[in-house]
Formats: sequence, C-alpha cells, structure tokens
Amino acid sequence: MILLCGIPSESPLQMVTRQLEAMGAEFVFFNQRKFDDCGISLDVGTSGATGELKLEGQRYSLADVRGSYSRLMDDRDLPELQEEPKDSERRRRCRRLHDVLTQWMEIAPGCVINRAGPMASNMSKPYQAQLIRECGFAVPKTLVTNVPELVREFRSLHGRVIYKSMSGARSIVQELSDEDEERLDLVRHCPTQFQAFVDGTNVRVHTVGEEVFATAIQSEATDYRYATQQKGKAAEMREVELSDELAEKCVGLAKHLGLEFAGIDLKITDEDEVYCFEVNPCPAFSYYESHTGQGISEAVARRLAAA
Amino acid sequence: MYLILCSAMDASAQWAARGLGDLLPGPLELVLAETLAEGATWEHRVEEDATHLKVTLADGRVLCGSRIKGVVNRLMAPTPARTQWPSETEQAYVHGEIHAFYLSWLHGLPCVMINRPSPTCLDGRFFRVSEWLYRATKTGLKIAPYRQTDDDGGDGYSLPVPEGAVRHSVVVAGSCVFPAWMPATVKAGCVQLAKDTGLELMGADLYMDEGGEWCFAGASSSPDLMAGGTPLLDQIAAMLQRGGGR
Repeated sequence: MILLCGIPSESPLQMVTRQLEAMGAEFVFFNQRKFDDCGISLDVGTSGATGELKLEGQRYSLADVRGSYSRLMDDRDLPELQEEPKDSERRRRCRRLHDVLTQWMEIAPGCVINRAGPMASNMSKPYQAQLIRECGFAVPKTLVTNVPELVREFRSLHGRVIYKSMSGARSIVQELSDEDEERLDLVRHCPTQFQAFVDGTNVRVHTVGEEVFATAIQSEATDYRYATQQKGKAAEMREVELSDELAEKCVGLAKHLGLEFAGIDLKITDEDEVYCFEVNPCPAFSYYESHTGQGISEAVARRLAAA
Repeated sequence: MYLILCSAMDASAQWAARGLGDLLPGPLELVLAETLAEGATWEHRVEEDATHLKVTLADGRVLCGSRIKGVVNRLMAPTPARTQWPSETEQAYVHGEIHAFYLSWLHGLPCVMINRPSPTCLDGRFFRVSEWLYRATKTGLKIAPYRQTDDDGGDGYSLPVPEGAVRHSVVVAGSCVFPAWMPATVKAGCVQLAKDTGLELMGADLYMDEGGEWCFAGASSSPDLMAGGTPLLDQIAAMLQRGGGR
C-alpha cells in the first residue's frame, strides 16, 4: 500500500495521485485538513516499528505501507486551526499526529519520499554546497561574512555577485548592485552569503531513483522563478537530455544526500562547465512537468508502487 | 591549536577544557558560544576545492580553520546576538541564517572533530526517542516496548524508562565506554550505535529491567563528560591527536 500525505489539491500530489490511479496502485491519502478524523499509534520494539494509522474512519496497519510520498505543509498553518487558541487541545493533538507520523517515516521500511533527516541538508546552502562538491560538481565561489570590506573586495574580484539566504527560508536571488553597496554596513548584524555570478543555462534536473528528467530554463532573470517580476517575461522551459556521465552524477548526488526524489539546480556554462547550486529535497516538480510534459509524476508513482 | 566549543552554561565541557590542556601537545582554546555571538568578525569561504574559515573574536583571538588541529564541538545551537530585530519574523529569519552558517563553517573545518555537526544538530546528531530506540535494536541492545500516539495526554509520549528503575548514563568515546564495568555486550551495542549514527562521542542512558537485563533508554551527542572522569579525557585527547579529519 502507498501513503500520500498533504493537501490533495496541491499540484504535485494531484499529479502523483492521478498516476497511481491510472496504474491501479493501492493507495491511501492522509489529508491534513481532515486531521480531526485521523489518528496514529507507533510502537517500537525488538521486532521494529509497527502501529496503526486511522484515516477518516478507516484503520490501516503501518506494516502494510511500503511507499510514502509526503508533502506535508506546516500543520500549525492549516486553515482549520486559524481560529484555534494557541494552546488548545485540538491544536496540540494535530501537532502530535503530524509529529508521530513524521517520526514513523524516519524509521519506516520501504520507500519514503523523502525522509526528514536527509531533507535537512537543504537547511544550509553553504553546507549543502560542500556535500555537492564532494560529488564532483563545481560550486560557485561563496563568501559568508559580516565584514562589508570583504564583500566589496569579493565584488571587485568577481564583477557580478549575487546574494541569497543561507537557510531553508525562501529568498529571491538578487544581484549585488551599487545601491546595495551603500547599505552593506547592515551585514555587520548578520553574516550574509554572497556568490560569484555564474553565467550559463539553468537546468533543473529531477532524479527519481535512477530516473533523470532535465529541463533547460531560458530566462534573463537572476532568479528565473521570479522572471516575470524581475524581467517582465516568464521563463521558457524545454526538455533536454544530459550526457550519461552527468545524469549518473546527478543520481549519485541524490543518493549521497539520501534522497529518493530530488530537484537539482544546475547551471551549464558556454564552456560546458557544470555548476550545481542547490538540491531541493521536496521539489515542486509540477511547475516543470506542466511546461514540458515530462513524466516526473509517473516516475514518482512508479517508484512508490515498486517499493 | 585545539578548540573546545561550548556554551557558558556547559560546565562539563569547561571541566574537560581544564583537564585536556595538559594532555594535548598544542595550545587549547576554550571558545564560548556567547563569545562567537558578540562582536566576532567572520570570513567563511566555500571555494572550488576547499573551505576556509577565519574568525576574529572580540577579545582579539583569531581562529583560522587551517591552523586548528582538533575540535571538541559542544555547540548545541548558536547563541542569539543581543541585536533587537523589529519583528519576530525577522528574528526567526536571522536565527535560521545563523544556524545555517554555523553548520557550514563547522562542517568545513578539515581537522578531527568530536562531534561533527549535522543539519539536525550542531554538536552531532539529533533523533527522537523512537528513532534512538529503533536504531538501538539494530545493534542488539535491548529496549522496552515504546509507544507514541496522537491521543496521549500531556506531550503524547510514553517514558522509555519504567517508573522506579534507576537510570545509568555511560559515555562512548570512539571504541571505549565509560564507566568500563558495563557488560561487554552492552558496551559493544553502545559503541556500534555511536558508530552507526556517526558520533565520536555519545552519551547513552541504560537501566536494568526486572529480569536483570540492561535496557537502552535514549542517547545524546552532548553527554556529561565529568561522568567519564580522567580516563575519558585521556581517550578524547588520544582521539584528537590521532587525526582523521577530512
């Protein structure tokens, strides 16, 4: 049996659901918004981790779940809890439900897309960059500092420099401008990440186990996700094929990070140098699939069904 | 240079710093999390083939990554700077950034480090009780059945140590267990658990069940070093000098 977790109308989950239905796979859905009708018990003993999941009145043995795909949103932000007092029992039970479910996924046998532990490498981009480098990818020259003079030196050395958040907090990648330099003193309050700009073609690679889907993105924007805001024109996407060597490297990187499913952000220069910026452990692949028709959701469904 | 990184509240690490000073061939610096948080200047670079760190502390000490031979890392979390941020959201953002930064520079130090950081825990590994217990069973350690549900009262967690049982703490350092009087099978299980979880230094909680068998009840990557006494310090000093960094 396969377990899907999250909000059913969310695009990636919707796409995987459709694929599982099409292939006739047995699956159940933990709809976070119906948490009031769900429950879980987890038992750890010498025979391993067992337990029971209650989903909208139906009971399932955790031992029967062989594949899980989780896109849980922060349960504290669920619309159903908006009017709940901060310390209400309903809110606490919802938290416990999500907490126990997540704990089970950490130790569950079979295929879990993705376990929380391996996903955590994305919480520090410069840390993840060091893991990426271990897999043979080039990474952009990076400076993290709270010394404005070092940033100015870095910019004069590399010309174009970008800055972005270090943590998992989503930030819009921006190029450091002359106006930004005027407020550089602010970095004294918090070490900030700067990177040498790498020119080239953005390629998003989704790996699902051994399967690889590469999408080239054409955009003039520094951060193509915000191309319309930054350049007034949406990014264009097309499917591309990677060399066997590069595809294997991408699969190896995802494995190195312990990820069954990964969204790898590459930039390939005109000299064919391959830089890797980041690995997204919970990729919103629907954005790419809807533009290119690539079979990413089908691969995810296949992976889950094969577990 | 050798480093002990810890918070001002970590009496155990500061005790170790006093003892380790005489056991190591080079200078040992005790650097508090609070010192790192206030007035330090940071330069951390991730290059094509190496990672660099240079920290100048407010008291004038300079920590250069390439000159550090070994680290005892007890930094559980960065100490928040006293800067006042306009909103809770900004405060949380900065906290996340600093945590991400500490993880990166600690990971990038090429020397031997006890313990190396992980994304979930700066001073080693963090697992919930359920995962520690699950992992312990894989090493042959005995555990009592453990249950968690969404319906539990209180925090929703049952205690892994039965009421009335006496908890014993041991410290694993490399392949040694302190105190040494524990049965060999229990020691082997603890050493294997530390190895499986990538910890050079691990504290484990054990208790004896009604049948007289030792049971595992939990672990941490920041054990009380004083519990291991001088023999533990000798072992840590040996591990620091043995090298084996990146």
